[in-house]
Amino acid sequence: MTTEFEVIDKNTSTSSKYNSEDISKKIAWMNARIYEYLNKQKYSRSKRRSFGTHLSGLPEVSPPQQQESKKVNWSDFLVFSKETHTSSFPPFDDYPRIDEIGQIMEWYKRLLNIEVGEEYKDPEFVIDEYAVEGVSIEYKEAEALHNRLMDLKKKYGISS
Amino acid sequence: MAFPVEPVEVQDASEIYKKEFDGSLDQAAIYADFIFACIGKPCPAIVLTPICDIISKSPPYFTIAQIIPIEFVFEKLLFSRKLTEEQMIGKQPISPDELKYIKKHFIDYYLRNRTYRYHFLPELKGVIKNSFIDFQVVQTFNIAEIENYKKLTVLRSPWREAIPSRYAAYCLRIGTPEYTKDSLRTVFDNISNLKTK
Repeated sequence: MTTEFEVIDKNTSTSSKYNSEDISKKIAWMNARIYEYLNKQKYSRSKRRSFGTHLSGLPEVSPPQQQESKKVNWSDFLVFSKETHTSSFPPFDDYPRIDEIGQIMEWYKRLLNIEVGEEYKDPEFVIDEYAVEGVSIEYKEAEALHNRLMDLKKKYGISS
Repeated sequence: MAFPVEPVEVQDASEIYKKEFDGSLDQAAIYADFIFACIGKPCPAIVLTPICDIISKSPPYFTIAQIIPIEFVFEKLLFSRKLTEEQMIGKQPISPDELKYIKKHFIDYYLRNRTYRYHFLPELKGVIKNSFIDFQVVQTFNIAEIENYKKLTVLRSPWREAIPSRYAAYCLRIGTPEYTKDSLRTVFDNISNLKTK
């Protein structure tokens, strides 16, 4: 059975209508994307595991059972556990739009204490031109660089 | 013939340098304050000339290589990685992957003497700081001039034999065109079944 929902964008107060099947698909897709994204972040395995558990509990096709069109906010969906209909995750009131994945990811990152900007990147494949020869040094140039760095350390009060 | 040291890992520099030595010119002896023509200021240096030539005094010259502070090489390595000066001194962070790469690269290539140009000399407290021999900066002096310089220490075997050998390897290296990234990747992909999580 398909249920129709009216979703209110809190920023613009505009409403959009979705049916439950569409929304469930979108939530499943979004969660898969978030999980895929977060799986590439540098955070502890236990957090990833707990996050994975949370995601596995999210509804695949289980919006609140309503026959009629109903006004909802996203917390109804995103904190919804398939089995228990509860979650320890705080409400998603700040994230009213389903297409704001970037914001939701930022929220997840803050929630999981992932440093913003610390995205995982595959190690760059570098052929180091100095690997065999050793870096190319001209003594006076190297000495000037060293002295600049020492002055900079003094400026910032770095002792070592 | 007994091996002069057990061929195992060494903990510190005290095993590498002779504890007692006289003032005579010696292979792998380290001196203070040689002035290299291309540098123009006093620098420590190490004798590259093999002991047979020194004993026979034929020819009556000896060859030395410059010793440079370890920081010069490390900082140039950081520079080559395009780090900012604030990042180099730890005022701004670098990515964990970059730090991992630099640490591994510096230890595995430079400190383990797997570059051609540099040879690591560990610190001997009060005598020599952590340094590199730079085989690119080399000069020849008359043996009679050695009396003008202060001898700091001498490497023990087998480290002393390694110095002329490594210098020869540096002189005899031959540059060949690099393989392309794609060709190397293809070789790797053909032999590797490795996967990430």
